[in-house]
Amino acid sequence: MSDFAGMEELLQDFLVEATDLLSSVDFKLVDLERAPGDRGLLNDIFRGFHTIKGGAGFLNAGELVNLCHLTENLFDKLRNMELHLDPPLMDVILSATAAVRHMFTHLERGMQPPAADPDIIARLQAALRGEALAKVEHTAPIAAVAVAAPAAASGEPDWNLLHRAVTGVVPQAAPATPPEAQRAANQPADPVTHSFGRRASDHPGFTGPTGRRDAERGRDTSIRVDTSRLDQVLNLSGEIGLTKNRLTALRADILNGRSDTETLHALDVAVSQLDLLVSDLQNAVMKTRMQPIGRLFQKYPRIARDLARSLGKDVELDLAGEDTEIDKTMIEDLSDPIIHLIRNAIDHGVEPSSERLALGKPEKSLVRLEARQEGDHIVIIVADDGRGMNPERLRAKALEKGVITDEEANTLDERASLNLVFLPGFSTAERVSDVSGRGVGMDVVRTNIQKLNGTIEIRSTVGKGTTFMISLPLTLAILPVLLVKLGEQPFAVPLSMVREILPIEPAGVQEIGGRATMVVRGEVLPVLPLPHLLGWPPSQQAEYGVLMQTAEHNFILAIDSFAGREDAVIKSLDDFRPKGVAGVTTLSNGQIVLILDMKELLSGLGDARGVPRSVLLGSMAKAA
Amino acid sequence: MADPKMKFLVVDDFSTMRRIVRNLLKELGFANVEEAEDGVVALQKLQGGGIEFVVTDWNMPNMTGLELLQAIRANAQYKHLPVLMITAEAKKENIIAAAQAGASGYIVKPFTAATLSEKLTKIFEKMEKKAA
Repeated sequence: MSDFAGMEELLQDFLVEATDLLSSVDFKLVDLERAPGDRGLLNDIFRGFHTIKGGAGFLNAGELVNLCHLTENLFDKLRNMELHLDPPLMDVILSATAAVRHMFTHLERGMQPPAADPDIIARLQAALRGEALAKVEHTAPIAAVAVAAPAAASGEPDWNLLHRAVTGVVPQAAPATPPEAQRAANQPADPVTHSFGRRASDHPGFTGPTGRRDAERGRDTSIRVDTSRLDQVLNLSGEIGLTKNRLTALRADILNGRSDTETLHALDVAVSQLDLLVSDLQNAVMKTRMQPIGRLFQKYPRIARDLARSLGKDVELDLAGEDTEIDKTMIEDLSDPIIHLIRNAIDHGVEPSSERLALGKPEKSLVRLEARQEGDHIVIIVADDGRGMNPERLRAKALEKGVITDEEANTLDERASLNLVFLPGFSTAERVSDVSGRGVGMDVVRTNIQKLNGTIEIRSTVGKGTTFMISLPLTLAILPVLLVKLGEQPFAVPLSMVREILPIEPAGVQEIGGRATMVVRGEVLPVLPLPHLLGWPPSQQAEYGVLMQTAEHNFILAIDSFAGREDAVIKSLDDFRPKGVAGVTTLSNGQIVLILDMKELLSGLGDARGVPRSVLLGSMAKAA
Repeated sequence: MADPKMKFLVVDDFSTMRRIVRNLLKELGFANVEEAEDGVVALQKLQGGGIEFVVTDWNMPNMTGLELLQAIRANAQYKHLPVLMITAEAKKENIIAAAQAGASGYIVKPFTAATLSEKLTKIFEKMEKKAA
């Protein structure tokens, strides 16, 4: 089946390295468009294609060699000033890089890539001969290649995978992109996109197992780690071994009846040392999973540029904080949401140049993509300086679409109104364009972020722009939790959802519409007893309320008492997973605690979201 | 025949390529291989001593293979080191430039272990003749 029997490892190495290289070429191409004569850039891009060609040669990937060779020659002429870079030539180069990327997708499946689109080859050859390239209406096909090809690797299909993951539908030979997108992408008679469409549906190996392997991103299960970081892990495990030996010796002493101060002091020292070493080791292991987010960021300027061009807008994507390190698995899962936010910013956020000039804004719009670490969180920001979002209009739109009721609309404040865009089926675009506005999207973006235990917030000022703020935990392996108790039984809830803890006093609980509620600083919140959520008999002593913040609802979780916070190491329950339980963790005293999945517990309630005051207060009310 | 313990320095900015060359050398019985990602790092490794054979790519950032070759030939300490140039081009002007700079051999990508062996043998023969 594989065209690369015996060379699999080489192929994997090549793909990882060459994909990075191609991303940086793409990144530099966007720079080159602004500084067409930059020798340094021309040299770097030349070398990029040259290097890919060299590696491809050893893989016998003749078509890839051929394509890179032509592109490389073009850059050789450009850097020697034999040719001059103009927009039609740039288009040819960009379609060539898209074609190279497309060939990588074949290699990923262990197959030799077929020949590149003859049109691209012909245009490259014509450019090499120094023929002026006719300014055909390239913008449309190029945009299609550019948007469709990177999407093939990292864009739209994942929405589908996600959908499959959610619905549990077995991967079918379904079109990789949603129908509208598919049609839009295929409209310009572009052989590259066509051949991709054929591959997805026609190739016998693509259904079933391959599809699933794609979902698991088989290729990306390996990770490149700086050797100094591995050395640190090795060093720490050595130290832990030594400390363990020390403890073993001390145990023998103690079992033999020694309990003098000296022995106990030595035990104390050894245990605190072990404590320190283990937390260092945890950190060091975590660090091996950390990658600079710049590796993800560098592919966006190209996507942004292509999109802005196809929409006739002048947009600059400004990157910051590329050095910020983030868990590798998160990098992969963030790729699509960020693409979506950037597309939204360019498609809906920023105004066309003419409109901007009329408003007295700079002609060029700025979209900022920034990452930074804030405490134990990573914050990613996608901000535009466009027209902003109007809460009033969003409410009206949501009403019109029937996503919310009249009553709900009246209770929404500005922030809640902005959050309406995250509701399934909500799309503010008046028309459906091929880049965004399909109504799938923002809700999937939020679902994706929440899967990573993250949150997403919107800030927007009409006329000034919109900012999306994604906040993510540093790692998925450790979850800060709040331990709450029902009687003697502890449960863990994710600390990220906890806003505050307050006492529940019978006098403060009101009944609205048959449901117990409390007013916290002007906000009316339903009070949900934990036993009610779990299906336990009502508690007799709900004394505390934990103000929980989930994507859709804020509510007060009524509990008996709480036992502090803990950094839980999550053990997932793979085979046996009760509804509403995200996993388990072990406390320092050895007790096993269930980590609750609030969202699932809430959804299990359906419409019965609330209990009468009497049920909540139970015996307390009687006592009062 | 050459000593299998001979220490090679493989210079290439593309780590996949370094691995390919390293594997090919291993196939030929040379397991003592150091790596450098460009000419600058290569010169540092040369200063460290012990290197007996340099295999270098041509196109690299910071310092190209040709510049590395020139630097090696200009240094009294290791100007006699054999240097095999690897390149993707079989262009005449490249071959001439390499020969003029004093390359011991020239090999075009992609190549097999057999081709590499042939080039190495030629270089070893030349060295032996010189030594004799």
